[in-house]
Amino acid sequence: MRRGRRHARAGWSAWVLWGLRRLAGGVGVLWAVATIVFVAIRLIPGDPALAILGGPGSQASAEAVAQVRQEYGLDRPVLVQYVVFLGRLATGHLGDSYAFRTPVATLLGQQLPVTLTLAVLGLVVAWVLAIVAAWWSTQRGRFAAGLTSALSVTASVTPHFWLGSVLIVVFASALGWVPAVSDGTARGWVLPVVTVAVPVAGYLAETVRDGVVDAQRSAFALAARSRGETRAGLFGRHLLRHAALPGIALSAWAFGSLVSGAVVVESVFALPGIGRALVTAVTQRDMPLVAGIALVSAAAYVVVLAVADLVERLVDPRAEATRPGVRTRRRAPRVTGPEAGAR
Amino acid sequence: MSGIAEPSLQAGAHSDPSDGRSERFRGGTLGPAGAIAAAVVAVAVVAAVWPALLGGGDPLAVHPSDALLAPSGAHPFGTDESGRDVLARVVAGTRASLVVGVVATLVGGGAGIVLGVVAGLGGRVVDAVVGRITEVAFALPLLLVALVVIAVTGPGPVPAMLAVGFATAPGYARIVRGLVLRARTSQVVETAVVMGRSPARIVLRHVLPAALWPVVAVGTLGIGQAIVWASALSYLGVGTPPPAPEWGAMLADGRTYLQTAPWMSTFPGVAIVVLATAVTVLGRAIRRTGALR
Repeated sequence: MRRGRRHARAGWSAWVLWGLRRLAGGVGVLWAVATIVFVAIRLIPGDPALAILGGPGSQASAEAVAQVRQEYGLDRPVLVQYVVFLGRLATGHLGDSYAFRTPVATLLGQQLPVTLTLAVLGLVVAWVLAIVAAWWSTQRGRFAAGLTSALSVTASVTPHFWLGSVLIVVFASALGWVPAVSDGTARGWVLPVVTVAVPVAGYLAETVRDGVVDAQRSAFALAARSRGETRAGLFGRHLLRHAALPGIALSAWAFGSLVSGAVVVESVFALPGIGRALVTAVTQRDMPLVAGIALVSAAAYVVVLAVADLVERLVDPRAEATRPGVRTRRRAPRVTGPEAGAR
Repeated sequence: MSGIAEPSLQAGAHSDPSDGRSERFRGGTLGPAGAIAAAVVAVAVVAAVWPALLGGGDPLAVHPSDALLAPSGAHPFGTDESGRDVLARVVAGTRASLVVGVVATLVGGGAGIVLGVVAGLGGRVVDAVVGRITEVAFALPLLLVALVVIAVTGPGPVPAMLAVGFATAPGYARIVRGLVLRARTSQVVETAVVMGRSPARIVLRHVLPAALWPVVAVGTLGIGQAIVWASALSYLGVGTPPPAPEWGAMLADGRTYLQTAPWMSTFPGVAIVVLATAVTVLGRAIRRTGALR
């Protein structure tokens, strides 16, 4: 703590330090993910050269196998292969997809924007839903509270694939308001975004609601009320600000959950994102593509985590008193939903 | 990863703070919501053990002449594209979902306990190594971890269970580590050390039980999630293959007939939501009663 205060006075250098620590941590995570993927590729039963040539059923000639083996460096010791693999990653080479025969980087360049749009918009919509639910469950009496609580539990365990199907049947087929299969227009995004957002909103709503309930009992809430703050003003300016902190900390987790959701939702709505590509890559055992997607997801998570940390610092003035990068949360974010067990 | 919500210690340490009335249920009763959830879970267990009791016929019996019939007296949930009774298939699918949910949670919780205990007792270096591993696992979305596991093992129902289990293990590991560290410095353990008990005995008698019960409580909440993720894998075509009656696979099947035969998707979907919600609500109610503390 004492050291922390000194750094806080140091100003921008503290932020540089914070950035460097974040960067080092992120690189460490990516290295570990790359290693896991490399090991996973080696764990797959069967000859990788045959997998490259289209699986055991491809009946490739011995010469072709030998050529592929040499081309991909599969004839060299595993350790050398590992170093080469890491070296290529470090210089931005993700390799070629076995199935598509195109560079993984090119495929990701096409698919990543779709998934990112889905996840980011999903996070925004989830937050809006969570705040509305928190308002309902804390300001509108016991019945509304019970109903919102039941809805958030149900929302948090609603499978994306079912919710997506129901939304398609109701809003695309019956009502015809939006297209069933995403067509690239803004209206086409409505159903996929709502679908990924709802389960996450269920968790966020519970966390934010708990925070609001907590804050309502505090002295600052009473003080604000006695100063003549309206109910809505109290909620928006005071309670929510307090309650948002654990929610923001949860957002990094939520982002991961949204990416998981995107894998399913992209299949439901035929969106050409990395989630759908991942499912295909897994069934075809297209390891370079799986590796690329894993690395990109991990990188996105590292970035989101840093952003969540940053936002938390901006929302919470108490955080400025301590050195950036060091967690000195007054109270741990409360996780009461089922994600406590299954992240 | 530092920014992840720390579920640690919250697990068994407090009554559920999401419900201001929780104190009232302290006596050991489940409360109205918990009772309803328990009833739903009981019905699901009956369906899993003895499907015939709940009007399940043969879930695989094909009657092409009865294909895609709307819900009626003879087929309360309608029929699918091969004329199979959707009710029979939903009832028969309960077993798959319950088994997957429980086994995946056992795998995840078991791996989590091993990792967490090793981290909590192994000293600084081991703790740091395990900490890094879980951190990295957290950086990967759950479904991605599951799909990578399946990329290695190949698709199927058992790989799906293992995949969901491994994907949830880091969460449990984190909770167990916190509990073990706390138990290690507790007075009970200190007293036992002073009394000259063997380390093995201390771990078995004092440290493990302290970590175990909160994890069981969290695990009951995790079963609902495991059911949903395992059915998602089946929906994506890498879990239980058709024509086996599995809810996720049935939904994937019903996708083609979403416009013409929505009942094919509706009922399995409702079944997943109802069972997962019931298990989750029951888990919370059990946690509130303090029976697993």
